[in-house]
Amino acid sequence: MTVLRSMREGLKGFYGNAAFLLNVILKFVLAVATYGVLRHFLGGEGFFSNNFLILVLGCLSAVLPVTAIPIFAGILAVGLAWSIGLEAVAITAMVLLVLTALFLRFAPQSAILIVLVPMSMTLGFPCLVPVLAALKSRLSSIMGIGCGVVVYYLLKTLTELANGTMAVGNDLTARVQGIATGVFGRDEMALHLVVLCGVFVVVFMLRQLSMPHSRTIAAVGGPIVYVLLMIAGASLANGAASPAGLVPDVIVTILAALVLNFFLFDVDYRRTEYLEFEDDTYYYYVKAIPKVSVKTPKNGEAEEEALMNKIAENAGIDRMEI
Amino acid sequence: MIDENRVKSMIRLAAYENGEGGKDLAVRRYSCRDYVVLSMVRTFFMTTVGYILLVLLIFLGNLTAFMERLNDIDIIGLVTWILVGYAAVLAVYLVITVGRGLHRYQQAERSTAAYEAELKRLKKATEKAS
Repeated sequence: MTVLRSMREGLKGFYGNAAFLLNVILKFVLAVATYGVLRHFLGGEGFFSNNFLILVLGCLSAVLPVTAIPIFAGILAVGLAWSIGLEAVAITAMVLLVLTALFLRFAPQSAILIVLVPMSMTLGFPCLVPVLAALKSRLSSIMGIGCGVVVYYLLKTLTELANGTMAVGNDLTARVQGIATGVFGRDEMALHLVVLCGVFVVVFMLRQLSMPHSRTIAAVGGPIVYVLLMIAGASLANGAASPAGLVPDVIVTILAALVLNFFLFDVDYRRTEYLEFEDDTYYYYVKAIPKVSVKTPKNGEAEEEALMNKIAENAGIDRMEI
Repeated sequence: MIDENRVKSMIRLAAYENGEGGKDLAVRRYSCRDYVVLSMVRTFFMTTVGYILLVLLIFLGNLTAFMERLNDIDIIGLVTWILVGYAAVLAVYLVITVGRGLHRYQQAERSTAAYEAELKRLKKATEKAS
């Protein structure tokens, strides 16, 4: 464990030294991956599916705040929907504007979840982002989780339309209704919306408890709650949920959550201290849990230390006398 | 001659202004009442736009049924329900906005208290020096 902690401190030090460059690179990679996946699923030809445009948007996203990525992704999705039809453009724009105006208004910092949740659902790990977000963010980030689920089903509907998998007819009225129903009329969407938001709330509340190892309990309990809710929800919807299909998601989520806890909240519960004091206004009951840290030697310190020890040994004197 | 303590104080103040404190200082430019009212105005416009689009989406999702029963629908009743829904949604959002606005303003007040105290000390030191 000490080795892992040393590696963690080393990684933190490396990130601290190169934070600006690493942030730019990570934002660029996330942005290009997002826009590339959008173009892959929605297809289309023309200006919005141009590689050069994706590269330019990726470069812009790398230097702008992280909230630029969902904004550009939304604009790209509306542009790519043009190849499906005008009704697809209208519905996509309306859905994104409703989500922004009514929900993201209260949690603009969680806008990036609108991109991360659909990506994790596409990869087959729906539970991953809600659990990690609940361990790191505020309660208001539930808005981002819910909006992400809606966006995933919007993109799924548009993909099915683009592939010709969804039959909606040629009449404009039928196509408009087909798209709207395809997004909001699925039982699957309601199930995922309720379950993922529920998992977020459960993990968030468990993490807030003042008992020892609350974050570990949250990291493991969240995915288990997810499996139970999915099975219950599927049977209520008269569907059959296969627990075996959820196992990879649960395993990956638990591992990722434990790694996140290791980086963000590594404490030693055995050395917990309880304090009480007062000032003019309040009585304070404080529980202090020390963080576990490993001192990593700075550049050249280890070599210097070894050299000093060798000099002392050769001279036959105690190290402290040098 | 440059006063080292004053320079350090100015660096600390500048670091606060350029960092997280910038957001709190922007909030404190308004009085509490003005800040909350401004948030409510923004919420009013966003909620109105969002609600109109939501009603349109629901309408589009049930377009066929709506067109088939167009002659039988009580238009006045439907419009009444839409307006009642709008009032309810707007009321809820405004209440949430007021709560969040007050909480945010109090947070900004606490955060900028130390900054303002340091600024006062710097001003006194500058006046003394001159």
